[in-house]
Amino acid sequence: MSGLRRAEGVTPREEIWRQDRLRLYRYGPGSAPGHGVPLLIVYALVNRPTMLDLAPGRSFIAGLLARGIEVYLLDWGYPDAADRHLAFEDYLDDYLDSCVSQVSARHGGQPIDLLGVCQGGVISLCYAALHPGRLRRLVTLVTPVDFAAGDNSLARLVRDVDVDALVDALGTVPGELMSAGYLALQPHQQLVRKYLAMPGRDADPEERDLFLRMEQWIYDSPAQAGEMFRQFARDCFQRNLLVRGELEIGGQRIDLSRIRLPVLNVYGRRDHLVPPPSSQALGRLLDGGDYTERAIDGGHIGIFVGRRSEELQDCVANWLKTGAADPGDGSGAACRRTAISAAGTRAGEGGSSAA
Amino acid sequence: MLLPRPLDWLFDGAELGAAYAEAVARLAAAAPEAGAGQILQRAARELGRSGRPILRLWAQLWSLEEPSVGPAGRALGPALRALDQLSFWPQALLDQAILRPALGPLREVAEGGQQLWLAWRELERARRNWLGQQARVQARAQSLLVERLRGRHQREEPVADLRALSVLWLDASEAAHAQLSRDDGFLLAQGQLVNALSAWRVELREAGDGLLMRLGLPSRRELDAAHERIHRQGRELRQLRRRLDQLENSIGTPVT
Repeated sequence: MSGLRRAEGVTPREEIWRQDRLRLYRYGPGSAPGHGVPLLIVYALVNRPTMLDLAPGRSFIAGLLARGIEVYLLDWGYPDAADRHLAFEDYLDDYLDSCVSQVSARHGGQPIDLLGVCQGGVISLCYAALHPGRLRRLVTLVTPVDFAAGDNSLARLVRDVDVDALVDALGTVPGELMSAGYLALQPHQQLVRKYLAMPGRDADPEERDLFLRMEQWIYDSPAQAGEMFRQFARDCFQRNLLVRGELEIGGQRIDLSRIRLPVLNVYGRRDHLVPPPSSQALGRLLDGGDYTERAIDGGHIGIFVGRRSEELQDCVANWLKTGAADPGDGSGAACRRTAISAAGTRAGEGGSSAA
Repeated sequence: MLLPRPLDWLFDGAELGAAYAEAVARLAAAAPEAGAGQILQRAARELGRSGRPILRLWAQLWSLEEPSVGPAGRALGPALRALDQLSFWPQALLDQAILRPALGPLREVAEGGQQLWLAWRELERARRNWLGQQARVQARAQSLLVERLRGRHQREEPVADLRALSVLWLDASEAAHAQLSRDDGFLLAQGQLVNALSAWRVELREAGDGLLMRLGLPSRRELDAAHERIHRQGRELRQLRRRLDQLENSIGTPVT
């Protein structure tokens, strides 16, 4: 893949650790770790985390930094044919666990905060279920939990696909195939309509730049390690095992109800890839701990880079710092908070749900 | 495409072309006062031809399942299909030639070729089935477009220009796709196409691997086996390191 196709983010960062294809970055000025609880961001394996740092003024990461959060990012890299045997357990118990250790070690060995985006949210949830003592708080953004809930276009796309045969045939699943799958969901919009509406020569340069950056990001699709793809597509999308508590990773069953740490779950009201009911299912599963749910008006990508992206930044930063997803100005109408006491009895329920 | 079946491919392409031509013809007939028809007529005149008769003829030629088309159009589809059966390499003859029992020293090579042929045949079937689903989407898109143009005409909202017309067409296509891509038939056709491609790819790889092995070069199968071994050993090494760390932590001194 050429350098032109590999988009880079806009916020300065420093690589602090690497293993195989994986890179662990720390964002922000200076090289010394700060004093706050660090946040480790785990993006999906499909597409690149560049989307979280897409353009000046449209950077989720820069927004968190500006709100006083110390941000680390796990970049999974670009798997190739040699990585076809990487499985879910490798990503979870090896790569993610090592990154959590690295970040934690830089901050005195204390539990850290974890934020997962989309598939990265699923990986983060599984990690939190298996390693509860290593985390302080967990944020899941546009994360599918019940893959059969709502109008799940991706689940439909793979419904009749023989995933085993596909992985056996391809080994590592090419990024181009992943892109083609996404295009197939809205072919006319993505292949033609979008370009009719794209900013022209006389458009605002900032808008034009954003369009081009987004375009570069969309087609910067890493290949998928075969065994990981096999398990995720088959066990999550086709068999929907995660929500049923039957997903097994490396011989360990993932029981999300074991998660006791505070969880903030944010989804987009107009998300066509992860429909809201798919994310909302998490609230029903977490029967212990502290669960906050927030709907943001936007799509799967729009909530990060759209005109209202600051709403998401405020929500996440406030919740990480204070445990409340909304600023203390009474504007939290869209936030539903369910607090369960440590003994497991409902301690209180405030706000209302507009989701 | 390893085996040419010219009429097959021509016919598939024409089915999609028909959907488009039919849409334009209907559009021109259904909403001339709304602006779209006039625009098309003008565009056609600029090309030095009268657009509507050509478009109508085109639609009649290829709209094979439309009851209102003329006898030539109705006959053409079956005729082409029949002709295809008699084309250069009829499938039955190819089956007979390729799928006969493999004998002799090249038996394995022949069997590999047979598997490749069967996978290709299945891929062709799946591809045609999938194209049929795409044609359904296009046909539905035409109906939606005409409905919407008629609605605009009734509301006296003319289509401003070709760009606006193309946006209407794209919106209708996307809506038709959103409706029909939920169908069991569509999903099955899509899945079967991917599955057939997977099987075809496996057979191609097997053939390539056989050739590489004969040339003394590493095959995909051998590389996969090597990668798996490296991966397994890497995972074991990391598990051992973790256990070592735990031991060190438990006794408080480094284990050498």
